[in-house]
Amino acid sequence: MRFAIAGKILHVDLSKRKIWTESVPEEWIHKFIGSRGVNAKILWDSMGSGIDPLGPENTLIFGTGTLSGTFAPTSGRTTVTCKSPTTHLYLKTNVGGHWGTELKFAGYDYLVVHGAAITPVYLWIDDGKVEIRDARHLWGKDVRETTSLLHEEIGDPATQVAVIGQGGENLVYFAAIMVSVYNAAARGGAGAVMGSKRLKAVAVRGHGSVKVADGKEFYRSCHVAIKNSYEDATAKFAHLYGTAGSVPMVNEARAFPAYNFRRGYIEGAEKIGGPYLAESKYLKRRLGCNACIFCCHRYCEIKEGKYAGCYTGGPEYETISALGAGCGSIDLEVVIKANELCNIYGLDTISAGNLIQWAMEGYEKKIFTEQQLEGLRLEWGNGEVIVEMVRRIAHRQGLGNILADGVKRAAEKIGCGSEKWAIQAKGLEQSRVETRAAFGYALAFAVNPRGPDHLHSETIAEFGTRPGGRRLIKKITGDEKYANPRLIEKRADIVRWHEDCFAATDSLGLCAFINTSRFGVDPQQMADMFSAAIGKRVTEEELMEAGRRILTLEKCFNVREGATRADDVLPWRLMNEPLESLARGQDVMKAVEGKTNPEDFTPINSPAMLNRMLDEYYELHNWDKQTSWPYRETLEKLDLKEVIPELESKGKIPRKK
Amino acid sequence: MIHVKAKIFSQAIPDYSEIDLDEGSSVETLLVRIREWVALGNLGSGGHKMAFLNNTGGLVVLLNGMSIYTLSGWETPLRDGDEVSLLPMFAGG
Amino acid sequence: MKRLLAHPNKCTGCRSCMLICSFMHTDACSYHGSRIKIVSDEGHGIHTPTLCQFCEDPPCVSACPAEALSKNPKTNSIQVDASLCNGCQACISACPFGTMFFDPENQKAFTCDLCQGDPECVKVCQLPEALSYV
Repeated sequence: MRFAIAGKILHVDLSKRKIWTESVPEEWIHKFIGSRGVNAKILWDSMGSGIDPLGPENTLIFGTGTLSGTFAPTSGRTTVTCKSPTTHLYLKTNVGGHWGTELKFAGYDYLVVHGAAITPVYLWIDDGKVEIRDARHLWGKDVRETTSLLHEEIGDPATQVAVIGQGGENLVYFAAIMVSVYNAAARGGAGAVMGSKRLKAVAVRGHGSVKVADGKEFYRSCHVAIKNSYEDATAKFAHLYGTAGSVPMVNEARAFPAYNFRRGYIEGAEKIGGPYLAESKYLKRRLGCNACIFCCHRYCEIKEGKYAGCYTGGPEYETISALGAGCGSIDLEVVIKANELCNIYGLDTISAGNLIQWAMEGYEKKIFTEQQLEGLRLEWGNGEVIVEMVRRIAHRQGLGNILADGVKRAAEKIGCGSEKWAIQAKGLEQSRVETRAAFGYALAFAVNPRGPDHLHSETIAEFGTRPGGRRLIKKITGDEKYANPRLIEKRADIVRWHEDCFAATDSLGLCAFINTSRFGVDPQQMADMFSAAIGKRVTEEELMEAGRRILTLEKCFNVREGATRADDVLPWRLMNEPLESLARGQDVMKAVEGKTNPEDFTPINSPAMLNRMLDEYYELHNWDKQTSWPYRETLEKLDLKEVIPELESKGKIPRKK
Repeated sequence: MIHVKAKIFSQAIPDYSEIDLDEGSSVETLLVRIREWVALGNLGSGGHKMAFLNNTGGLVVLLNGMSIYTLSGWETPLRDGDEVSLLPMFAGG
Repeated sequence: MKRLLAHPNKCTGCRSCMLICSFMHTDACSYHGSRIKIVSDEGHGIHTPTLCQFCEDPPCVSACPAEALSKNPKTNSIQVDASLCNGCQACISACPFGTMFFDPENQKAFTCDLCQGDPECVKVCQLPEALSYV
């Protein structure tokens, strides 16, 4: 047995009904670390460009972290990687729960699913034994019911299950893969890819273990990370109030997306915030992912009223904005109920909410026919219709069938100018950050390979609200004054540091919330834990460089698929309409158009401003500014020579002038 | 005289307070005035709220949505119609 | 005498305790090597820590035919003398809580020894506070 990792990749080809294993090359641990990084390498190797994401040529990869299965704090995260059906670009989606560690204890670091089954199947991984089993009796059942049935069928309630619900079965473009019932590998439609393979579930039971190379040093370095985590000012609040705890502050900052990103503020937002939820009758439990010490997840129940009988994990901050404020609602019961349906049908709450808001704005603007509406009253704040739309999307019923294709395609289909209020870029719905009020986020969202969201580099530090964050900004830029989200200066430097750190964090299996959301744990501490686990010294620089290599490989996948600088954009609304709640007076549009001083803040992600940041960002990366493609020397320097031949044959290695 | 609004998040549902201050008063002056106001028994039982207001290191202070640390900190001067929010430190996404 | 108490309604099901416990007592991180086990009903958000209850009159001690089990006078935990334990598993059957465990590789019984008075599990449960050593 090797240190830290099980050392095995499990391959399953559902077309050929073949199962085989491969050893994890030693070199990959240093080049790509694990999880997200190794997944990216496997994805690159497994396909050429232009394959159909919902066809048998797509590869669905589940990757555990290098530190998963140990007590390194928050080390239980897992990455799912494939080509996305909604963007036709690179997709990695990260998930908590306990499935990944179970897979590792079963003896596998990675599961790679090829091809597609003819009729529904599930995989049963029972330590070394792997079977493809009939799942026709499970098809059509929701996530929770399927998990229960599998526990019964297998005869072990401790079995960990990764499963799709009706969302994935019906190829909803934002279907999620759910693990440990309520944990979602949510974004980008990985659930639809699993559904296209007619793979209903992957059930795992692992009785093995994980050894580390230097136990004493591992214990020491993990306890440094644990201690620093506990000492961070926000650790206790994370546990008490969850990510939902951010709601009041983001609303006060006028950056809480409401009414489909028309406003950054909604009156009464505190009623759907973490502290209110914690004191309410709904919050029954606080839950934690594998090996986490913060335990920021929620579990809620509704015992009376319209939604009596509802019980679910969540809600998170993103869900609250997507299925609450974004739809013009501050009804906590609606958020919880809609969250439950997203969980059991297996849908990404961020995208689901985005689609409902798009439809509400369309309803306001009278773009739908009576036939399309079927009597639905898509009024802002109508809680019942929010809940009903989740059902219709999951089952592709009526208007739900149009929404289920994602907001880009829905707007293309319906037209009537609705592309302008489709809050998406690259084909992925934007997550609930008001990038017109935070320019580091704006850049990060524009360059994220999977589309505009925060899980590529969470630049919370730029808000300047916390001393740890200000220290980090000073470390990156040399001056605390750059801890200001309304500046354009230094955003490229800030995003680059964060994306390196985030990639390394994901690949080790650690939760992104251990750093960048909190400021106790830094890359040096991560490198220490990594080194002790594998028995080879890895410096902070090497770790961050591995992070850089990983996200560059992800970029290369997109380059191979045909992505260019033109794809590194933000949604139309955010690039063309100023944020109302930060715009003062009638002169804002004038100020935007006839800008006298380019340094003046205007709450808009204008092309000029985005282009300036992109130029700096590509320059820092040593990528060609015109195309955004990496230069040969950049790939060579990062030890990514293996991608050059294919990119070159497609004419995608730019010449440096 | 300037008229300023404060929103105090010492608990889940915030308290509101509207205060008149001298022209050019700082955010710190506002905080002192709020403390005095709470100490006088406004906003009900003050103990928990006073602890919140005294924990300046653990406060996020927003002036019209901007962290005061991106402005001039506690010395940032206030103008008529300004809105100040006082929140405990949180994080997440 | 201090006792290690579990508060089930605060348990988040994170399993950090299991991973550190197994590490401290075996040569690897696992669930089976842990002296504390979390029993979960994930669908209903219910997670329950189960561990030795440090009984006043331990049935496991009485059941042992080899007199391998005794109470540690310092910590009040059950100690297993590995040189005497013959792997008969009578103690495992006798424990009403199901918190005496068997290591099939070494054919020995094991249970919580409170880490000799400085329990590691408590150290990784400081926010949920589902475990306390009082």
